[in-house]
Amino acid sequence: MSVRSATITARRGLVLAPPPRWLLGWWAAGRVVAIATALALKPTVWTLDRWDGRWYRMVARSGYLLVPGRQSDPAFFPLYPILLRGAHAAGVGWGLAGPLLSNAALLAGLGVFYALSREIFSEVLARRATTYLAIFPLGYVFSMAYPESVVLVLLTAAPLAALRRRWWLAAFCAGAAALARPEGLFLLLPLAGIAWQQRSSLTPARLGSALAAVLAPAAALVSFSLYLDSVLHDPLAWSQAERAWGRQFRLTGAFQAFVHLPSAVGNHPWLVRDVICLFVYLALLYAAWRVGTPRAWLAAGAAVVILPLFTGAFDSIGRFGLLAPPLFWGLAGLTKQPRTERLVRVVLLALLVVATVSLEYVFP
Amino acid sequence: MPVVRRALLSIAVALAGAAGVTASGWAVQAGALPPPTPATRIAADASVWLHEHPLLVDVFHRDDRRTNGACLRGWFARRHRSKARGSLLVLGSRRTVLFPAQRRVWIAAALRREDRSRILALVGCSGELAQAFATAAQRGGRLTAERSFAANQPAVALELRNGKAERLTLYVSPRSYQPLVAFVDLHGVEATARVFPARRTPAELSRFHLLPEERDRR
Repeated sequence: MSVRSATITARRGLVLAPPPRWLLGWWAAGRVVAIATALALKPTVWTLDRWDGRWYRMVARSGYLLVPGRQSDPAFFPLYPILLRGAHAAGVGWGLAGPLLSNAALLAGLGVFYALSREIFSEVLARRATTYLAIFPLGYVFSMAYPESVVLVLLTAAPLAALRRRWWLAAFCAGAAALARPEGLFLLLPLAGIAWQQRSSLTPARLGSALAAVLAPAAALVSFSLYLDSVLHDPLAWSQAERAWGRQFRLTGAFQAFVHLPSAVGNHPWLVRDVICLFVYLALLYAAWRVGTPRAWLAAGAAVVILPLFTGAFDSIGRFGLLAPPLFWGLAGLTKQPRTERLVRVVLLALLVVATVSLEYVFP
Repeated sequence: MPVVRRALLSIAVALAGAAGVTASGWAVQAGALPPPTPATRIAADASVWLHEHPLLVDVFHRDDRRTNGACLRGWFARRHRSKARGSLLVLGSRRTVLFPAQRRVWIAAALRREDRSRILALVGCSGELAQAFATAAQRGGRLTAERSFAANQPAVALELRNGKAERLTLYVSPRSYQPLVAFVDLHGVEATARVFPARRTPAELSRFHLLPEERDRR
């Protein structure tokens, strides 16, 4: 068991060392493979700016607008468009801003993920997990105008800050993560776990800041609803827009997703990719449990992977899994032998090429 | 410090922190993202009206001629038992034309060929009008709104321009944004429709020979 207790975490700030060379190397390798494959499909930056990227750009340029009954942009959370606007204001073109931001954020995300993994596991496992994350097949999304890279930074920075007892910073990161993707909400589970571990050693004010960090993702979602209410006069515009995209949570959603699977695959064969991903992810969660991942993290990972099924569809589960760190800890735990590790790296890089090619035919 | 006071202090700090996250989150969004323009909001509201009324009863005016008609949006039987989504336009002489739903109704090549029915569909069919205005609103098209007068009542003129020679104007009620009149000018070819959003009742469909059995007989 390679778990290090969080209680022995040093009282230091969130000062991160510059990314080590091996991390830079794997980041570059993964990005070169994904971007080169995407550009080989169509030699234009728009290849990386399509699908949801177009909607994020629309929000960044014109703000939100709900058109009931039609697919509308309130389904897309605001942080990434805000960052796109910032990049555009700095002189970067709209088409380039998304991919540039995402690729840069991924480097930061890998660095923070590595630091977080080291806090929880051994150096070796952390390094292996970070490498796998850098070249994960669905990871071509990290190079697209999608918010996953930015969320990765925040999603890993919040618990890292919490482990280092920087609870206000953790609250900031957790709130920002929830403003970027709904998966940010599940941060409350690991943050609550860390706060519970530290409860006896925190002053009342510090304990309050820890609770604030636990509440921050939900508070950020409230701020999004308040904002939508102020501009569109509908606090649940995002939920209404999600319905037009075919996403609506129902208790029987997971059951219906399986019942309708044969016809859904018939209409949309690429769905097989997400079905396979779901089962692979479940296996990796099991592996993560075996390697000693804290339960709160396992619950958060399971929520990221399983809850989307309750919308009645398998669509995009492969991409959602990118924001479940336990999957990569599980994969790293499965490949302890150097030979196996090398083999997995080769397979992941090959699958990264295949997955990037699918970008031409199907949304991630 | 007593346990209760410690707990109350923690809860107060937690609630203040959560309120701070909510307030700062709202402030960042309000400060960084542009609000929708009045024209785009009116276009969105008008397109909801159009979306909720698949049937429009029309009075067309073109080349000093007046024609009554109706347009129904939905799925229609085609050859080989297939079904297609689109708009079925019925003009006065029981002439019907089916227009498959298009992503870009506005710049349809047919318009440039002065296809009379297509031009009338653009002003008289809820599917075409909704698509044109909703798409323009979402994609930041050249959309303007100004006070006007149409159908003997005050109205808001919602104008969508595409280049210099293509203009589609929808006059809507200033309170409910219910569409009243649609006007199109395509390279000098003009058409107007007084539109009446109608309920899709059997009586109304029968009046325009739009009941399924009547459609299939043709």
